[in-house]
Amino acid sequence: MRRWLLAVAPAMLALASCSDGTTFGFPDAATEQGRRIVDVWGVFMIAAIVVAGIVYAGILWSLLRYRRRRTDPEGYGHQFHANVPIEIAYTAVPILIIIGLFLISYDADRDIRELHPDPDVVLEATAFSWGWRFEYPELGVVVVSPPATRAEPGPEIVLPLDRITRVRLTSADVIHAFWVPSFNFKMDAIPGRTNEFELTPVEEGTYRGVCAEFCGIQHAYMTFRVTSASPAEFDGWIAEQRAVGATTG
Amino acid sequence: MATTPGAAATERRVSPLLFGTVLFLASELLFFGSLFAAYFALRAQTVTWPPEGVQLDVVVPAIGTVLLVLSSVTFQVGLVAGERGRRSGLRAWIAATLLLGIVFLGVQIWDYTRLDFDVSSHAYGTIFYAMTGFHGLHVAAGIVLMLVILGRLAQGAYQDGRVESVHAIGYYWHFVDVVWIALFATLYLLR
Amino acid sequence: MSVFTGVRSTGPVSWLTTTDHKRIGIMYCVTAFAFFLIGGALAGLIRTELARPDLQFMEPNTYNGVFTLHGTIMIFLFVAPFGAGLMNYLVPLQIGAPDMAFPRLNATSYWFFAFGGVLVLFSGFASQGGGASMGWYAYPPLSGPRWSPGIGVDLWIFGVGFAAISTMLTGINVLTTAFLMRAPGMTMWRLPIFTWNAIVTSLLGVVAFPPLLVAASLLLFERRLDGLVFDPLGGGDPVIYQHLFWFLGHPEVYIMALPFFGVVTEIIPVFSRKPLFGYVGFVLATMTIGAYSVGVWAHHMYTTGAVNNPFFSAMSFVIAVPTGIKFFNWIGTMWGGRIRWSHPAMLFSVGFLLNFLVGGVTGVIVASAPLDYHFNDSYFLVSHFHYTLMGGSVFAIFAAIYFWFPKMTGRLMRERLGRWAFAFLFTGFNLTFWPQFVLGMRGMPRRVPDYPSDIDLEIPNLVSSFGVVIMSIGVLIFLWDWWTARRSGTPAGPDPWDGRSLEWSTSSPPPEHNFTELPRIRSVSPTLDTKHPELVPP
Ligand code: HEA
Ligand code: HEA
Ligand code: CUA
Ligand SMILES: [Cu+2]
Repeated sequence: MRRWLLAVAPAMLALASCSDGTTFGFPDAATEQGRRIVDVWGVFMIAAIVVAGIVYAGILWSLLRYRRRRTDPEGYGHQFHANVPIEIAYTAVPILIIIGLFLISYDADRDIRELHPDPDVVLEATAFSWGWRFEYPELGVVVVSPPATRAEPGPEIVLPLDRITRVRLTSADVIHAFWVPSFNFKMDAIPGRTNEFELTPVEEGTYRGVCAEFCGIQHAYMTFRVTSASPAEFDGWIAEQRAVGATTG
Repeated sequence: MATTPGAAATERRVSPLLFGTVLFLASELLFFGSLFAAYFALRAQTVTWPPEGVQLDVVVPAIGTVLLVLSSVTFQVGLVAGERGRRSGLRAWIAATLLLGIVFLGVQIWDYTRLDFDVSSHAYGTIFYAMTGFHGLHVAAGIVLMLVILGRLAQGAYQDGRVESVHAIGYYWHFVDVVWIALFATLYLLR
Repeated sequence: MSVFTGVRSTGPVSWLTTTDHKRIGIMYCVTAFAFFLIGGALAGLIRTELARPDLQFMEPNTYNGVFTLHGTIMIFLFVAPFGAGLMNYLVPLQIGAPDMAFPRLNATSYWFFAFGGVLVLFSGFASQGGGASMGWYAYPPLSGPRWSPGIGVDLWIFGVGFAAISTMLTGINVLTTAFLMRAPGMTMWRLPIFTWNAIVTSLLGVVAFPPLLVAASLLLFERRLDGLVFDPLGGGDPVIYQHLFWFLGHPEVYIMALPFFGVVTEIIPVFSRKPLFGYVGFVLATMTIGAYSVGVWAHHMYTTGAVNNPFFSAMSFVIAVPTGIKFFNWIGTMWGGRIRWSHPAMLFSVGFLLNFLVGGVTGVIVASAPLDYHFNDSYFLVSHFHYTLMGGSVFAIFAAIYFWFPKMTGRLMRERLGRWAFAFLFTGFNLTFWPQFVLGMRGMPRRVPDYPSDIDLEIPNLVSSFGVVIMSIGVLIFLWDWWTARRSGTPAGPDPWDGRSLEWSTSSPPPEHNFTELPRIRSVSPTLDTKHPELVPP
């Protein structure tokens, strides 16, 4: 009777794939906002492992301990069918857990979605089928995608490190979404609406961005790149863009 | 002690037909409720509502409203007659209801012809025609049901006050009436 | 149909015109299962395309059509209708009624569903100017006239509309039956749990489908009458569609879950030789889930920036509590029992528990708005809902077939084959979908036929595709078992597993009007009470 091992397998798999450090396989974020999300993730994963562990233990223990054996007497054993204190307990404890989880995610949500009155850089992002138009209105610089294909990595934009960039996101046609997996954050680009959010990069690097909302044939290739660089390098990049004529004028 | 399955029927108090009809109307309520929700969502997002150029005249639809409310009354009078076994009374009043329903639809179409916007003018136009149009379809379905009642009367149905199905149709007809009043208030009075 | 079930009949025509709830129930289940095979084959195409980076054999547009059809079929034509089939078959039997309240309406519902199913198939395979390839929730503007000009989307709208009306009508029928046609002694608090779940499911069906019909109709206005409700250029807003759609969409996931909670709650007590632990709590939890499920729809819209995220987040978390109650009820039922765990019906029920828990816990994770900013539209989400739907509901569907097949046909399926089917399905399922959590974390978006050549994405995708091979073997074993058991299975007798509820008190298959004689009903387990009067609670 070793088949019960089959049942244990997913639980072990769960632990195995979660054991690579504190983030349980979650990407460590390259923005301040994204880091708040990693914090939330850590708490949720611990809660999930504890809850799932207890419930799995209960299921597997019952199955093993109370499996029908040949030596069992025929017929029915003790027939209990309710226990009010236990029932209250297993209602109350999850309520407490979800209150905790709610407060943590509420608090983080507020920080992540916070809009500062005077951001350092404004970036107007307009998605279209299938590409992106990025404009720095205060700096007069525009970057537009060439048509999306598999080989085309998409336009590159630069964000200054440790500065607040306010993104104003909208769409020119269908719904798209702006997702930089390394920032752990995405937001929908909806025609007729403008969504605002802020990104504060804290780690230098170039990151892949994708369109996350299904938008038709070239959805998979509607990519872009985001580089976070020191403010000086950022200024240099802006000047370069102006020099190559990537301007609003 | 064993019982036979047939016993279930004798215990029954509530008519399954009416019970089922009420459930059906509950889903209808959500259908129109969703249209109203879409309407109010659009309204909340639009600065000038209704859009410029939309001229709605209250008098004609008000006539329609009166007719439809009246048809609920005639229906109910017919139903009471039917319950008392007076099939000729049932026939006359249902025929009157049928007529009022048809005139209501006529008034509605007349009102449509006087509007200077259509489904594709703006979001307001679409939701306006969707709401009144779906309601109109419900009135049309009600008219068909009235014809069914008249047809079954001609075949000799509804003897001795057995008018359960007329009852169920009545629930439907009154529901359609109430929805119209809400539509009239929302589209024409409240704007 | 008789050829699929082995039930003797007076010819195929009698199946087409039948109004017998048992036959309609079986027709629902068989048709729905056929759709599962089609949907599963499409899943096979998806996973083949995704086994390696780059495009293998499908153009992006073909791929988009395939997953649209896969999702639509699985949701609207398989899981929900299979639940409707079980409700049709079981509710009258469990409450001691001779048939459903409205037998002809019942047949109409079935034919609406079948017709809708055909339209959906055509929407993908045979439509002019492009099949439906806008995803199973058909967001405008993508599903609008400009971006999806072909008639595929129109056929899809009608197909889904017919299936929706069918579910609503079934809901009305089940509710009327369960409330008004109970046998003497069958009080509400003695209803079997499956019937309770059928009641709440049906209520959700009545409440949730009308908004879908409105969404679909307005979309049709948009497509064929130049309507503008969802078009910002005409003063409309595409987010309104999302509200209408998900007001259906979320209750729909419970329509696809509650009947199957009911299924395992029938099976676990029988195979544990113990009554359900916490019956009253279970029923109240079911009602709570039903009530809350109409208040959480916008958790599918956190990233639109157009909804109150904390509110919908809180509502979604709350649903974990009643669902948790059910888990503890199931554990409490097994605790102290004499569990015959090796029967396929019980194995699949346990598989349901183990898989669904993963789906539920990841549901709570994506219900947290900040985490959803990362997981929305990623493979993490794809894995969440396959753990609930495939690992949960579909495993319970297999359990239900192993459990009630003898009642429907009078013959037993083979336990050994069933155990093999379970082993393959359980292993294959987890191999397929566990890696998808990892893919989601690493930033793989859903609905893409292609992904960058990157070892972080390649290995999980390959493993995931390999899992489908294992699952398919499980499905084939099951099909073989079922096909042969119809004719040559061991005769089952009326009550092969010491069942509890009323359906085990009549012959297998039951006679035309279900019962020639009803036992006295003194508890939730009338059949068992007759066999073991000493167990009747005082
Ligand atoms: C059967 C189907 C089913 C079921 C039952 C569920 C159950 C749940 N789902 Fe899921 N869901 C889907 C099918 C389902 N889902 C589908 C199909 C989609 C995607 C549609 C698409 O985009 O294509 C989706 C998407 C989806 C989203 C949208 C994400 C996004 O689009 O970005 C969210 C967000 O909140 C969510 C949440 C939940 C929650 C909170 C539950 C809860 O009900 C889970 C409750 C259960 C448990 C939590 C486990 C048991 C509880 C305990 C043991 C108690 C203790 C536990 C705690 C205290 C945590 N689901
Ligand atoms: C009940 C619901 C349900 C079920 C059971 C499944 C089952 C499966 N699903 Fe599905 N899936 C959805 C509902 C479901 N899915 C939904 C709603 C979507 C979203 C769609 C969208 O984005 O719009 C989705 C999307 C989806 C994707 C994402 C596509 C994308 O975003 O690009 C993937 C990818 O791996 C996938 C895979 C699978 C697999 C491998 C199975 C397997 O479990 C299938 C197992 C079954 C088999 C292996 C059948 C074997 C059959 C045979 C052996 C016989 C075949 C023979 C004949 C036909 C004659 N599904
Ligand atoms: Cu743009 Cu997907
Ligand atoms: Cu949901």
